[in-house]
Amino acid sequence: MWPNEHPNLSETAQSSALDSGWPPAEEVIRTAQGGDRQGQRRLYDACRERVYRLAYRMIGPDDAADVSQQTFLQVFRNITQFAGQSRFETWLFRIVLNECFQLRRRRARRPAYSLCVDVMDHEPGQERSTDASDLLEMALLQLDPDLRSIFLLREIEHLGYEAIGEALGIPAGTVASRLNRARRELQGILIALGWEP
Amino acid sequence: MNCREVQEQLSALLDGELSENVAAQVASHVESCPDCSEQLRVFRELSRLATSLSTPVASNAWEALSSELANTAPSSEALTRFGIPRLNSKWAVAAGLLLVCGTVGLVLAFQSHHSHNMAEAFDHFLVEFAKSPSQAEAVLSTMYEGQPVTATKAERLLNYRPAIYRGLPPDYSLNSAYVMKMPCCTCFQANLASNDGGGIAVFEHNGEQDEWFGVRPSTEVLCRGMPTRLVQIDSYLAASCPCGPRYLTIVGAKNVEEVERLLAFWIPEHGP
Repeated sequence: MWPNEHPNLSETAQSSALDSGWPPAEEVIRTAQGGDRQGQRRLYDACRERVYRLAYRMIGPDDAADVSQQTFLQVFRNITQFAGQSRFETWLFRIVLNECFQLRRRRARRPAYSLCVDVMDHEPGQERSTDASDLLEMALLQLDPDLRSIFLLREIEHLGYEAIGEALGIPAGTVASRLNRARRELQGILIALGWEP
Repeated sequence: MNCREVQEQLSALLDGELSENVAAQVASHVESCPDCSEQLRVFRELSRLATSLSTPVASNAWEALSSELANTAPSSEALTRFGIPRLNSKWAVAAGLLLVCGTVGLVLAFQSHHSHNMAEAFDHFLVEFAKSPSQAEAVLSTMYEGQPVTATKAERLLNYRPAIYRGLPPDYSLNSAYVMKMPCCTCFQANLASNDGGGIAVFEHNGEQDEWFGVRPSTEVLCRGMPTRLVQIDSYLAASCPCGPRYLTIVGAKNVEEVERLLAFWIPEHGP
C-alpha cells in the first residue's frame, strides 16, 4: 500500500518552493521503476534538493554533491527493490545517510570540514559576533553522526518518529530517546560555543 | 512523574508524539517545575534555531548522473534477505564489499521481532563497547539479569557448554563471562582480552539476531562454509554465524582477518 498522506512532511513541503514535487507522487516513482529515463529525471528533480540538503548537513559542503550523486546511482540501480512498504522518503533518506556514513568511514577521523577547526580555536567573546545559526552549523558537525541524523530528520526534514524509525531501521521508542539525547548534547555543544538560549 | 521521567519525555512532548494522557501528565509537571520548564524552552529554542539554518541549493547534475547510469549495467544479482549477494570468495573481498554493498544492505529494512528495549539496549552496548568492553558488558548484564559464570555454571544454566570453553585462540584470554536473560533467549556472553590490548565480546545465542545491529551496513559472506553476517560498527567489526544448533556473534574485531581467526577456532569447517 502506498502512503498518500504525509502529515509530518507537509510543513516542509509548503516551506520550500525548490522541491514542490516533494514527496514524489506514486506515478513518478513507478515510472522511474520502469527504467524510463524521463521518469528517472522527474524523480531526480523531485528529490535532489532534499537529498543534497541532508547530505550537506550530515557530511559538509565539500562532499555533499558527491554523496548526492552516489545516492541517486544507488536509488536508480535499486529502485525496483522499493516495494512501497515504507514511505519513499524514508527509503531515500536511508540511502543518503548510509552513503554519508560510508564516506565518513572511508575518511575516518578526518574533520568533516574546516569549521570544526574554527570551533576548536575560538576565543571567548568571539562567538558573540557569530550568528546563532552559524553556531548551530558548527555544533551539528560536532554532534555524534547518529544523533545528528536523527536531529536533522526531525528538525530539518520534519519527519515524525515513526518515519525516522523507518529511515534508520530503529523503533520509534528509540527515536524518542535518541532525539532527546541529541537535543541535550547539541544544547551542551552550543552553550560551550557561546550560545545563550 | 518526577523530573527525570519528565525530562526523558520532553522531546516527545515538544514534537507532539506523546499520547494525550501522557502529554497531559508531562505538561502538568512542566507547568509547575522551573527546571523542566526551562529545559523545554531550550528545546523549543533549538527547534526555532534549526529553522534559521540556510538552505543549501543543489546544482543540477542530471546529465552526469544520466551518463553514469547509461554506462553501468543495473544490478541484476539475486538479492538475499539483506540485499547482498552471498559470496563464495575470500574474506578480503568481503571487506571491500562492506563499503560497496553497504548501501544496498540498507535498502531493505531490518525488521525487529523483539522488543524495542532489546534494540536500544544492544545499540547502547555497541556504542559503549568502543569505549570500554567491560562497561558495555555491564550495560547488558544490568539490563538482562546477567549472572557471572564459570564453564560449569554456564553449562548448568544453559544446558550446553559454550563454544569458548573448548578453548581460546592463542593471544586471547578470558576476562569475564555471563549468562543473561535477553528477550531473544538466555544468552551466553564472554569478554576476551587480546595480547595487543584489544577486547572481543563473544555471544552464543539461539537464532539470528538481526536487530542487534540495527541499520548498520552489513554484508553476508561464507566463512568456513557457513553464511556469516559481517557488520561494520564504526571502528570495529562484528560477525555472526551458525555454530552448531546455535549462533555465535563476535563483536570488536579489528579487521576481517581477526574475525576469520576467531571464528575458525570455534566453528568446524563446513561445506566446500
